[in-house]
Formats: sequence, C-alpha cells, structure tokens
Amino acid sequence: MSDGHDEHHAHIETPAPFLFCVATAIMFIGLVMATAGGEDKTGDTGYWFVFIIGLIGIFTAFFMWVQDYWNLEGEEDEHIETYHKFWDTISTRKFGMWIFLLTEVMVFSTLLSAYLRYRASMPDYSPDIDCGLYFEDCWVPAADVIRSHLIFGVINTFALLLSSLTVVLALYAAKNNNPKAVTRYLAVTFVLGAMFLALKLWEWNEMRHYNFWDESHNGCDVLAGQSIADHCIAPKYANGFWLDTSIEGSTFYITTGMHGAHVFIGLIALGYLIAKSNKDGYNEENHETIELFGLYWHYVDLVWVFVFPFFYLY
Amino acid sequence: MSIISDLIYFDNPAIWDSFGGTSSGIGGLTWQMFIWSVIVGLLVITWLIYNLIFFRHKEGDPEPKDALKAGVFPHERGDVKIELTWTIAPLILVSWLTFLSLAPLDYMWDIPDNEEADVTVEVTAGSWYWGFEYANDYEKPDEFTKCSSNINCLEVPANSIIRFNVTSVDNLHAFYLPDMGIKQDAVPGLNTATWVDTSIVSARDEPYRIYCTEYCGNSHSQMLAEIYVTEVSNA
Amino acid sequence: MLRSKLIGLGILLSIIFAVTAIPTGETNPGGIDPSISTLVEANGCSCHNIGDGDMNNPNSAVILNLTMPSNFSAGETYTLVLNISGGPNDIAPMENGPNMGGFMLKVSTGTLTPIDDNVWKPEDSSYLTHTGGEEGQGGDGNNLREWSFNWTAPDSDSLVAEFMVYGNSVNGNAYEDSGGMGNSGDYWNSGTFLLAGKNAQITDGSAHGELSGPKKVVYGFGIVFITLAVVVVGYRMVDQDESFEEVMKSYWKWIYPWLTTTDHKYIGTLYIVTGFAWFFIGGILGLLIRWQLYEPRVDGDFLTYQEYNSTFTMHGTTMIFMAAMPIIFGFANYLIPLQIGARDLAFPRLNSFGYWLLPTGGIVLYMGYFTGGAGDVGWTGYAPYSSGASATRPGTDFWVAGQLMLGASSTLTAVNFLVTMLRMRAPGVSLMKMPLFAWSILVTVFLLLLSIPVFTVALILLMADRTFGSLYFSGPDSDPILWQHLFWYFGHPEVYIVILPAFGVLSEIISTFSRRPIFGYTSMVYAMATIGIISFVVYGHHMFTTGADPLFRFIVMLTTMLVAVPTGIKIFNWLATMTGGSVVLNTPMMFSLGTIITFTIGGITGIILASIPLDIAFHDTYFVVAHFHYVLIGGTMFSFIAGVYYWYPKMTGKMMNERLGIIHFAATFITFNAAFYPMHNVGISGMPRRYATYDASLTELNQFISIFAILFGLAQLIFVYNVFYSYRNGKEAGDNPWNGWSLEWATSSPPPENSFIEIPTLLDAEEEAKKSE
Repeated sequence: MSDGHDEHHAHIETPAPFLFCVATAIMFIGLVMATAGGEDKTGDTGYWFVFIIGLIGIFTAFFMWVQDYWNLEGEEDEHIETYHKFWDTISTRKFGMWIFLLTEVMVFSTLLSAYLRYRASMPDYSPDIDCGLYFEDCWVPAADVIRSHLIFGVINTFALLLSSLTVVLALYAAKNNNPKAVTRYLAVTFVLGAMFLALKLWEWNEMRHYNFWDESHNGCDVLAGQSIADHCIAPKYANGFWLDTSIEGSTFYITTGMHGAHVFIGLIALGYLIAKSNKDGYNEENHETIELFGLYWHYVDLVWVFVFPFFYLY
Repeated sequence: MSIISDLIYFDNPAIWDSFGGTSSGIGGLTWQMFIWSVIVGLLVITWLIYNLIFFRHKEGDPEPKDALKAGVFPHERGDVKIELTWTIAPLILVSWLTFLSLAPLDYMWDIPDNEEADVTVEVTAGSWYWGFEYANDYEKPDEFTKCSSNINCLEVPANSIIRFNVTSVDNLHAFYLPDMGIKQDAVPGLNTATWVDTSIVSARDEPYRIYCTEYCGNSHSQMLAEIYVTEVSNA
Repeated sequence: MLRSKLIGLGILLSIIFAVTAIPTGETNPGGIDPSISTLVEANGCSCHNIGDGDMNNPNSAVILNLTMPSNFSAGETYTLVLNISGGPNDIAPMENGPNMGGFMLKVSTGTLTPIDDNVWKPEDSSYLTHTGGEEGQGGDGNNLREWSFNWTAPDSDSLVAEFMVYGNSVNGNAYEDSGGMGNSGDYWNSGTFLLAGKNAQITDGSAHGELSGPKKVVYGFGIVFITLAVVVVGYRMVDQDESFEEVMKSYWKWIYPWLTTTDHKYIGTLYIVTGFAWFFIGGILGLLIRWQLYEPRVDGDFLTYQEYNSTFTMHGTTMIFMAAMPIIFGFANYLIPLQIGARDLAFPRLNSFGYWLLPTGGIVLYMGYFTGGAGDVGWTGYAPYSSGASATRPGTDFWVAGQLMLGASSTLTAVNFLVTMLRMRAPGVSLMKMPLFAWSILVTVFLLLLSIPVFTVALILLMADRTFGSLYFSGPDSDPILWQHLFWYFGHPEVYIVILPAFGVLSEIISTFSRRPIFGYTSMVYAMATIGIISFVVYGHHMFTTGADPLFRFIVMLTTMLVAVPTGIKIFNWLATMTGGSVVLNTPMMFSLGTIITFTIGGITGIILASIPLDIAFHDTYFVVAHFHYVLIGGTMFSFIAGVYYWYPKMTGKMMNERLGIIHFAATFITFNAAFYPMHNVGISGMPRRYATYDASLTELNQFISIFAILFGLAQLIFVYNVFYSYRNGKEAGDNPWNGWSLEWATSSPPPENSFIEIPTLLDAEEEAKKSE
C-alpha cells in the first residue's frame, strides 16, 4: 500500500492500534471473568492472570505507539495546511486536545450530577432532625468522615495546583531553550502527581478501615441528636466507609476514583515526556507536546477544584 | 380475510373514546391524529409519485440549466416563500396536535385523591406477580366472586373511579391495562399512581387484561393478571 | 476454470463434513424457574399462601412424595401416587370443613391423565391439578392429601422423565375471614422426581457434552472455516507447488496491511464490511426473535425465556452499536476527506484505533454466549434489573465491558472527525459549501461528543455496582429513574446520530439523480443543526410513564412535537428537489425514495407517540417497536444500502448490477413493510414489548409478521451476492458515473493512494457563471 510515492504524504502503517485493542479485549475478558465468572458467578480467580496479560499487552502497544515519536528528532510535521481563516489559529493537535477535553467535561458532569441527585434526595445529617436509628434517613457526607483529617485533602489540592504551575514553567523553559530545566520541572510535576495519588490511596485506606475517627478504633458513640464533629462517626459507618456500604461511599469513591484514574493516566504520559525530554530535550521549536499535556493536566486539576469542595468540604 | 381486516380495523383502548370534553369521538385527539397522519402520509406519497411521473429523465432530455458538475459547488436553489410555508404549516399542525393533547392529558393526570376515589387499590408488582390490596378498609361487595386470591386477580366495581397506587418490591415493572389504555411504571422505592373510571368499559364476566410492560427478567411475559369489572348494586 | 470448480467442490465437501461433524444435542430445557410460584401463578394455580405463608419461598416442612416404578418402558402407562404431608394441615385440626391440600404436577415428557374426580387436567394444558379449587368446578380433590393419576411413558425409553410437583399444605382455616382472602397460613413446597427409562441414565444437572445453541454455531463456523482453510491452502500448495511457509507468508502479506493501515479509505472499508457483517448477525438474532414469536410458546419450546431475553438484548445492541454506527463511520471515513478535499483524517492512527476497538469490543460483548448466557437486560439496560443478581452473569458484565470499548471508539472517532472537518477543508470548501453528507456528519459528531461520554459513565457506574458492590442503582436508596435519565440523555441523541447521516446520504443521492442542486441547501443545513440541538431536550419522551415531574413531561412533549418541523422541512425539500428535475430511477434512487416513504411513516408514528395521552397506551408495546424499526430500517438502513449502491463504483471502480439491485429493492421494500406494518396493529391490541409469548388471539398477525421477516432476511442475500459478483464482474465505473458534483467524484475510482494527486479547489457555480459573463 505504501509505494514510496510522495513520501511526505505516505500513510503510516502501524500494528500498535490493533494490538492495543486486542490487549484491551483480553484485559476486559480477564477482568469480567475474574470478578463474575466461575461456577458460582462470583469470580474465577484464575482469570486475573488473563487480566494481567491484557494490561501488559496494553502497555506494550502503548510503547509501540509512541515509538515513532520517540525516534523523531523534531516534532511530527505539521504538514497539514489549513486553507480557511479562523480555523488556522490553532494547531491540529491542540484543537484535538480541546475537543477531547470537552468530552471529559461531559464525563465529570455526569459523575457530579449523579452525586448531586442522590445528595439532594435526603437532608444532610444534623442533630436537629430525625435521621433514624442508624442515620439511614440522612446523608452523612464524606466530608464528615474526613473532617478531622482534612489536612491531607488540602495538601493534595496544593500539590495538584502546584503541579499545574510546574507544567507551565516547563513549557516556559522549553520556549526559552532551557531543556535541562524542562526535564526538572516535568520531574517535579511527576513527583507532585505521584504524591497526590499516594496520599489519596492512603486516605482511602484509612477511611475504609475507620481509622480516621477514633484512635482506639472503638465503635462509634454518636447518637441521634449529637454533632458528629465532636465525636466519632455515624452509626451507619460503624464498620468503615466504603463503596459497598452506602451511597455516600459509592459516590465518593467512584468520583474521586475516576479522577485518580485520570491522574494516573496523566502520569504515564508524563513519564514518556520526561524520558523524551531527557533524551532529546524540548526547545522553542518543538514544545507542543508539553503544551498538549499541560492542557490535559490543567483539566485534571480543574476537576479536582470541583471535586474537593463537593466531597471534602461540603 | 381476517388478516386484512385485522390490519385495517383495530380496537382502540377504551379511554381514547372517553377522554372527556372535546377530545373524544370525531374531532377528538385520536381521530385528529389519525386523520392528519393519513393526510400528511398521502401528501408525501402523492407528491413523490407526481415527481416520478412528470419529471422522469428520458433519453434526449435537455440538461437542466443548473445541472451538476464535478468539483463545482452547485447553484443556489430554493424559494424562501415556499420553504417558509412548509415550515409554518407543520409548526401550526404540531402545535395544534399538542394543544389537542392538553385536555386528555389533564384528564389523565388529574388523579383523584385516595379519598375522592370510589375504590383505592394498592398494586404491588414483584417478580413475577401482581399483588392487589384494597385500601381504606374497603368492604368487598357481595357481588365480588371472581377472585379466589389477591394475587394476579382484581375485582372492581363498574361505573366507579378507581385509583391505583403502584409500586414494586424489586425491579421495574409496569402496570398496563391494554383494554382501557392505562399504564404506570412500578418503581421500587417510589409510589406512583394512576386511575381509571370504569364506566369507560362495560361490566362483564370475562376479565380484562393486566400485563406487565416493563422488562423485568425471565418471566416478564408471564406476569399476567386479570381485572374483573363487576356490576355492584349501590353500596 | 478448473481451479474455481475444484475450489467450489472443496467448499461443498467441507460444508457437508462440517454439518455431520457438528454435535447434535438439545438445548437444555429451561428447567424449573427459580421463582417457582410465578410459574405456578401463571399456570392458574394460586398457592394458598398469602398471609403467614411466604409467596416466594417454599417451606421445607411440607413433604412431597411421588410413588413411581423404578424405571419405565416405552409407551407403557403407569399409575402414580402423589402424597403430601407435613405443614399446617398436619397440625391444625380440620375445623371449618375440608380443604386439606392441593397440588400441581408437570412432567417433561410423556402424557398425564386423570383417573378419578379428584384430579383434573385443565383444557389446553399438559399439567394436572386438584379439583375443587376453582369456583363452580366440582370434585373433592382439595379435600385430600393424596392423589392418583396415570402417566403414559414416551416412545423412547432412553429418556429421563422429570416430574415437577408443587404441593400445598392447608391449615384448615380456609373459611376464616382474613381480609376476605382466607388462605393465610398455608405452606407450600416443590419437588422434582426423576424417572429413567429402561435404557436411560440419570446424570446430575446438565448433561455433559451438550452445547448451547450459540456455542454450536460458533464451533460449527469454526469447523467450516478450518476445513475450508485446509482445503484452500492444501490446494494451493499442490497446484502452485509452494511450501506451507510460502503460502502462509503470502496470506500474511495480504492481511498485514489491513491490520496496520491508517489510510482512511481502508479503514472506511473495514468499518463498512464489519458493520454489514454484524448487521447480518444481528439480523439472525432478529429472526430468532420472530421464530420464537411465530406462535405462543411455553418456556423452552424454541428458546427458553431467558435465552429469548438475551436474544432481543443482543439484537438491539448489535444493530445500533455494531451495525448502524460502524456503517455510518465507514462511509464517513471513506468519504469525508474526499468530500472536503483532504488527504486523510487529522489523526490517522487514532482512526485505526477507533476502528479496531469495534471488532474486539464486539467479541467482548458476545463473550456472554460462552459463559452461560449473554446479557439479558435489553439494549436499554434498565436498573435495578441490570445491576441486580437476576441479570445474566457474567453475560451482562461482558455486555457492559464491550460497550465501554465501543463508546471509547465512537468518542475518539468523533474527536478526529470534528478536527478534520473544521481544519482540513480544501480551498473553496467553506462550511456552507460542504456537501450535505459532510454536514450531517459534522452535526452527528457534535452529538456524539456530548452524549456518548454520559452513557460511558452510566455504564461505569453500572459496572461498579455489579463488580464492586457500589450502590448507585442496586441499593435501597437507589433511584432507577436516574439510570433512565442518564441512558436516555445519551439514547435519544444516539438515534439522531444514526439518522442524520442517513439524511445526508439521501440529500446526496436525490440531488444527483434529479440532476439538479438540492432545493434549499441553507435550510437543510439549519434543519440538521436544529434537529441536533433539540435532540438533547426531548429524551424524556421515553419516560412518560415513570411518574416524573409533570412540567418536565409537558415540555418534552412540546419539544418532541416541534422536532417534526425541521424533519418535515427536509422531507419537503427532497421532494422539491425532484420537482423540476430530471429524475433517474436507478437502484440508489429507488432506495432513497423508499426511505422517504418509510421514514415518513415512522415519523408520523413518532408524532403519535409524542402525544402523552396516546403514549400512555403505546409505551413499551409493539407500536413502539414498529415505530423505531420504521425509522431505523426504513430510515437508516435503506439510506445506507442506497449509499452502498451509490458509492460502490467510487470505492471499487466497478458498477453494481442494476437488475439485481432493483430486484433487491422490490423484495426488501415489500417484505419490510409487510413484516413491520402489522406491528402497529399488534401494539394497539396491547401486545407488550420484550414478550417471549403472547395472547393467542394475536397469533395470525404474528405469523404473518414472522414469515415476512424471514423473507426480508433472505432478500438481503441478493444484495450480498451483488456486492461480491460486481467486485469481480462489474463494468468499469470511471471517475463520475453518476455526474455528481462533490469532490469525491473529481478523483479517480478508486481514489489514488493519497486520495488526491493535488489538493483540489472547489469552484462555485455562481462564481463560474459570473466569470463567463
């Protein structure tokens, strides 16, 4: 198919997308069978092996995919001309990233809508209203669970905001032909992002095992009519706060989890950027990739700016 | 052949003939929907056939002045007046049909309170059965002899206002009375309501049908029940 | 000549071999449904257990005993005795009269016959029950705890007869007034008794070696394919004197480019072929539905009701996500760069990725068939059924996972198209000079971007519920209506996503074959944009019976009615295009005209459904099924079949056979209308959707529908044949066989490697006219 004519416009041939998809299918088959297969339909643990193979396949295909970019001296030729005013004010890849982020806006809007819908269905816990014996008629928000240890959420917010700044600094450094600084700033971004994830996972664990509200891990003594902030936690969280015990937990973990997944994927992309920056360096001619990543990273940060007050403060 | 007659004539759900006011019978919602559908459908088909007959391409026909050429965006073709006509006319038609729907809508949504209704029935849907309970300490009249259990069988008096409070114990179901044209989803955790005036159907020995019409699993098609409408001497 | 004869013979032999090699076996019968009481209810026996007794749970205090011989001989008649003991009727003294017990008994094979007054067999049934239970039906059967009856063995003694018994133990207070019901406190139990024939063996549970239907199909196809491959490869090795490696290498050289291409033309072709292949698979599922509905059937008669539920679920999901959308993306992929004068899409590798997610996602979707049953939640996946334990597992999980992949595919492809169409248009191709097909894709892609992510998230929430136990839809405080909002917010734009490109295709074809420009180009563009925008506001019309807020429902009714206006404008503009034109009546044009008729009918029934009072009666009945098949098949499918006939010469360089095309059209149009029109009537008569069986009075109409549905399926084979035949033997097409105007007709057929030798410039007829003055 590629006959060498007009090399500038020859079509690339790459098996990476095909392999990526096959690996994704294997991964899903493994995941579903491992969690819902087997004789009793509660999971056939042998399939976790298949799941791992799928994941490895995905990573392999990802590496194959970026290999072209890896070996490029400059950036991919922007050989696509635009013949119409107004639409030429933005590069193709940047435009694509913005549109992609539009779809991501829909993703998080949906998650937050579902959360708000459920939250609006019952009154928030207050000592003055009748919430039932186990507080089952009231919404006891995650914020109450975390309140005593809010510092970690604040640290995370700072970390993410700072990391957005460091990405901008990396881009600035590239535009000013300072490739070493670029690598350093990107690395700091990575560290901040990784710290965010680590702290979040730790936080989750503490919340799940009700470690946040009583040193002695004793049962909770809050009775109807008492303020939660002064004591332990609501009776309905007596066994921990997790996604299968309450709708408050489901919305909290799924929404923050989806956000965390987006951070994780960002870190993978960032890993590539750091490696490439280290190898070839970014400069004023080719820095667009950093900008594209920056857009994505800013978006992830922006989502956190919504998620944090909605779940940690309110 | 009965198939032909099956395709042309059909029994309307009873409530369509009894929406009340100007929305039943000739000129009512159902009749107008039907007539306008036929008119619009015939209009489209007639125009189509007219085009096929009078504007068919024949060998030797001269090329139209604005014939298409590859690589050339064609001439502008249109007529604002005509297009405005077939924008405004359909707009008026659909507005009219919406307006016609308002009175029947009002009729159906004006659900009588528990106290206003002659009989209130608590309908509970489960997998895969219907449970019926009379509410408000309703005393079953002596004429009610059709149901030996309150599962999948309901008997209500003729010429009365019946209110149904519908809910489900597990999955989504839907309470559907096809002969009358009444439907209400049964949602777990939610209490919904619908109602019917049994004077729209005649009292008879055979039951009317109750179907479940929201997919609910294995025996969805067997979740049938019977509703009997029985004459009751005034109690 | 000899070579093709030999290959033909090889194919015939391999098919014969495969047919004999396919293991035979009955599908496992449905067996006793877990919620036993419901079958019992449906079969006319209401176990007297409201009140203290538990409707849904048998009580082990009740003991059933069936006395039967140790085995049976074929055709012999035996007298069996059923005895119940335990439960309330052993405890409570029989005070107010008899009514000690009741039973209901079914058997999987052989015939049951009553032998005395205490047992009877209701008309048109095959089960036995006690007498005295029904009003006005005599007999003392319910005053006993033991009954005798005859059973005649089947003609084969290598079968195992399974007796299913339900026994009711009455507490004797039958005449006590307890809310007018009087059956409180009864307990019931059920039991299964196996009786083997002389030459049979009782195995536990499902017999080994029996395969389910879908497994048989796949293994069958696998055997055919492997045999064919062996024959073809072997023949080649012998005839061409090549080694096995050489043959494999040459096939690999042929396949590898297809696996790795990022060329929009090849990806477009892949999408179209894959889409049509899944269309046929979905079509077979549809025919299974119609065969099941040929007449009222009991559970397990043709399909078990559970299998039927999976069938209509997979039919819907396949048709929308694996047939309609891929075909649309296929045409878009192939044509959009050509129509706007670009060499390819903006992100070719992403394009390939979007394509390959399709077959792999489809495989994940269908994995359920290998693991005990595909998803059975309906293509709409309503919670809490879909998030609960009764939905097939892991079939439903595969259904969710597969659609996650397909959703990702659509989203990324949409990003690709939007960027391409906005940035990469050739000189002269301003937005208001794009062909209408391109415009339809532009609007479609906007809808995709805003609606698919919502569905993807809803699926993720569902998966979280099913896999991790979260409580979005499966907890006590969950809201099933939330799922409906999330689903239909996507679901309604989704159906516009599949119809708008069809509108685009129609505009192209009708204009070309009227040999004049489309009437009212500007209004056509605005109409599509308006339809796209309104589509987000009307989704509530799928929820009219849920008890949602009345104001919400009213606004939805109004906007749904309003969306008919831009749609009507389009239809009238098409007709006006033909008026004053020079209409060429070939196959693509006939399909387009057929579409106008069927889509208008579908649109009219849509307006009927938009009116809430009427929708209350029609929602979830076959009237809706008729409506959406008219717009989906009569709108989308017909348009894209027309599109195949129209663009096939461009894509392959060959013309399709016109006579076969007209025959295909006539057969399709007639069988389609004959099959789907009566569904309106069936729906008005009250037949609900998703029913595996129905009221016997509707049998005639249903048979009529089923027969024509099968004929409709067969008619499509003409099309398949035409496609393959024309590829080999079609006439040379030339660059512009139809005299179209858009840029794809200004390049060769098929287009060159990089689509255009030079990026073209679109001229404008008005300007050209001015120049020549």
